[in-house]
Amino acid sequence: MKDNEIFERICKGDEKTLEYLYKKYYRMMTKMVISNSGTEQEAKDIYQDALVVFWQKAVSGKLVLTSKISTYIYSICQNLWRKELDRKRRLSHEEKDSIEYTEHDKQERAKIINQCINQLGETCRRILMYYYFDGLSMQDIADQLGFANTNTAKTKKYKCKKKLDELVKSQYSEHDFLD
Amino acid sequence: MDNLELIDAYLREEMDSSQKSSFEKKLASDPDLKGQFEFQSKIVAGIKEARKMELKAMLDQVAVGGFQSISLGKTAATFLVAGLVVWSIYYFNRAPEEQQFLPIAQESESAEDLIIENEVISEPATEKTEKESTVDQQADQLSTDTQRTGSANINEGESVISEPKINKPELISDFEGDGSDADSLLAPGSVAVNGETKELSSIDVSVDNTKKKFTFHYQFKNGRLFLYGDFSSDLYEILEFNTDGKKALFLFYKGKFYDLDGKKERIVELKTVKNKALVAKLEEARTGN
Repeated sequence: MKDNEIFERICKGDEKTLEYLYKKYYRMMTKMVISNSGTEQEAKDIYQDALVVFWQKAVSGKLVLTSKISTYIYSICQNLWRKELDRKRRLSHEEKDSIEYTEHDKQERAKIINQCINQLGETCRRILMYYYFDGLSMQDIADQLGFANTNTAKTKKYKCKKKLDELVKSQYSEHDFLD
Repeated sequence: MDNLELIDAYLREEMDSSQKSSFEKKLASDPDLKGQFEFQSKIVAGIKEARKMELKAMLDQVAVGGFQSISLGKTAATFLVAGLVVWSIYYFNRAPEEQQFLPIAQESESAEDLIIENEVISEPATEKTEKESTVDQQADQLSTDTQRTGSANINEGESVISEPKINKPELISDFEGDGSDADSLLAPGSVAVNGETKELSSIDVSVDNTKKKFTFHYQFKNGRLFLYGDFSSDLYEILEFNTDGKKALFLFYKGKFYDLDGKKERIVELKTVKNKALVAKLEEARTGN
């Protein structure tokens, strides 16, 4: 598959093409991290994160590709790995506690929301993720999920979001959640 | 637009700069909006995180082949694939007392060099240029291996001593990708060794961790080796010995050697090599000691 075909498919939200891309450059990208003092697991993690960034930008229509896909993803990997090395270095110094605390906090919150999203049902889950992460338009969401029109998508999104907000508020006091 | 719509537009980066600054002003002066915004930002961050995890979990299920753990540039001798011509290995496998094992210490060493050299050889020039340009712009923490360009000298003398045929792993077969998804051990550089390498054999290895019934198994299918199970927790090595047109294959994983019978077309369990003398010789061949 050529770059423009891959890109086109990914822009349309084809997850199979993302898997194809993942396989295609796996060794190339992980090698960069491994040969820069990363472990295999770290390499895999960074590469997956980079692909997710690429996915998000492509699907939301925010990316105009001016280089080869591999070059683009490679540079994301480099940036992410540099950040990670930096984070590790800071972790070994005095900032350790505050960073760990923030990180832990963030993860905890993500866990709470994930639990709530899972209670909403698959359609709501998809709508909210497509809307907030993939950055899809209401038209795209209607197409992807087979809704009659954008108004249906809009109404569903509104209801799902309201339900999620209520669920989060009911299970966790606002104070706990925001802290 | 009500507050929630405003917040959505802001979080989805749909506002232009003037809308953005007026929203931020409003945010600073309206505590209600600020409270709502903080709550919504966290919910949206959580949704994003959940989707990210979902995509990563999906990618985790994709089989990427076995040679994902190559770290040759960093740690020597973590990975060794050497096709060694040791005519006696078969005798050894069957009748240890009569076996003669040719010294191979020098070859193992040079094989390792070859692998590292090859890492550079196999990188297409175009990708390297990109790499260099990207790296140049960025901090020097990340040193790439581009400095090693052009150092692909193979010491033929060494490899001729006991006439080994060395199969080198192709670390990066093609940066542009060739559509092939499986990692390959096909020796790309037969020219780099010498004229005797016409018979260089190749093993394509694929790792499949999706079959629940087969957790530590293997099979040969269409000349390709399939390893079933989770081989991600450690590096594995394939040792290949060529002898008079026959091949003996062994897998080394987590400190143990496993016999690989090239005729096994059905999925069979990996079994350790129990013959202690053979294990010792294999270890010797593997480490070059």
